[in-house]
Amino acid sequence: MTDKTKRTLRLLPCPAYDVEGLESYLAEQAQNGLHLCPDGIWAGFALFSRGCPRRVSYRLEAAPKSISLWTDNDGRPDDEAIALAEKYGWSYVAKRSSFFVFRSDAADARELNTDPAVQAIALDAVRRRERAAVVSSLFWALVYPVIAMRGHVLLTMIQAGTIFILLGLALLLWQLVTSIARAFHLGRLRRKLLEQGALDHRRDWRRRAARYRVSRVLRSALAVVWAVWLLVTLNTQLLEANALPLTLVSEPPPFATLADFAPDGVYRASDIGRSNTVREWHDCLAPRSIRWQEAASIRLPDSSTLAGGLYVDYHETASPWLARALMREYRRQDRLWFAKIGGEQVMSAADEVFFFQDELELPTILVRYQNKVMRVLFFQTSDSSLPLETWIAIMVDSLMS
Amino acid sequence: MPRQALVVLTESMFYVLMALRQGPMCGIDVADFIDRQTAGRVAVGPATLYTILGKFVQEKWIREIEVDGRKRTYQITDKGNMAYEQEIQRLRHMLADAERTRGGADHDR
Repeated sequence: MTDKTKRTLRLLPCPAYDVEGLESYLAEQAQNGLHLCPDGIWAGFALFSRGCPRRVSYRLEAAPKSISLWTDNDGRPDDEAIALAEKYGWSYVAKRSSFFVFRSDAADARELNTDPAVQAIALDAVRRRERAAVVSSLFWALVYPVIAMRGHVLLTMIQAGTIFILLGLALLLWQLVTSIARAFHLGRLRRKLLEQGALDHRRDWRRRAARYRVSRVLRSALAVVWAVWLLVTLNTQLLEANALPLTLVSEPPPFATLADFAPDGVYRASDIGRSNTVREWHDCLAPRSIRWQEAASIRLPDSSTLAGGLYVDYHETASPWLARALMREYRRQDRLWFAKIGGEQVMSAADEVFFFQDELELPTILVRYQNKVMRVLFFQTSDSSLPLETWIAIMVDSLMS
Repeated sequence: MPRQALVVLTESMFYVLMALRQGPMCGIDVADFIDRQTAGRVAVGPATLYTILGKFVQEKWIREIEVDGRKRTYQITDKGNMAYEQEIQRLRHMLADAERTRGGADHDR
């Protein structure tokens, strides 16, 4: 037999905090000739080497402090603790989550834990660490993003993808429920120790094994899908990966562009950095969204020039109610993020039109008509400037047509 | 480790303090002392011992005074001595109560 065939990888049947289940499972595997390899537990999998069936005892010891590769001794128990355990017939094998796994071949080896009250203290320490981790992960995963988004949840969902955000949220909730279950289970073990004086090292681990394995595989698969999706989203959002040059666009957008501001002029696109691109995407909350970035100069019939940049964020939402909610978020965003002043409603045939201007006097309008929402920033660099009322009217009319 | 005050010492905790009253010791020396002192009656497992040492350090009943390779040496503090003395007092009272009760029971008989 080669080394490879002598080894086998198994998905563990119970979570790390199920001390009794894991001890029982590992001992049973040893009786079947499968012995846990040193440092052989990783991401819920255990690596076993095939050998002679033997009666071996496994014990889980609650780590006194949080363990990881970056903590003292590479996350292993103290060397002295390992030496003392060896003196009494136990050898350190692996770690899993907040627990160290020890093994003994000697039937009469002194137990690792001889005082149930002290073991309860150790389990309680793990439980409290878990609780602190839940609070911390809850903050960083749920509260912090909401603060960072400054309440622009709908806008973020449309931009990042509703399914993507909901999947992330579902994974977080799953993690939260698992953490709460872990804290409860550890609390039960602690009570059992104090009331009955010992844990059951031969408990039936099969009872919930299938359910645990299915949920573990499903959660891992979803986490991988979400992580890949996150990378793709970041690539798309930050690097504008799927933005098309305007020269490749064959169909006109559902709103006015610079050419519509001076239909009789001679149009010449300017190439400034990432200007003159368009990105279109779809989402269940907003079936059609467009980000339009255009910079151009137009020679007018009277030989003057109209030059500037037009930036449009356009959304067709799934319902008018969503458009209203999105409009509210855009108004809040313009006031808070970009410190824009103004925000007064402009009289118009559209459902809502708001006008803002920032310190650089770059004018922005927000327009909503039925289920369509559009934010337009138009700045002019030429002497011949188009009056504000004129281009606002052109943009509003284009949305309503 | 949680900040949960130790109200009553278990037998293993008591013997760990007793060991460190003899002078600074490492974990293995503490285990040997308890084995010798109790002639094996009190068996303190390695996990139990290191949980107790960690808890006592946190409670400031003992402190780590030296790390030499894999060996960590601990020394009892004044607070630890006080806790040990209080526990002895508690045990004395228990014993005295038990003795008194036994006297009464013998007398009734």
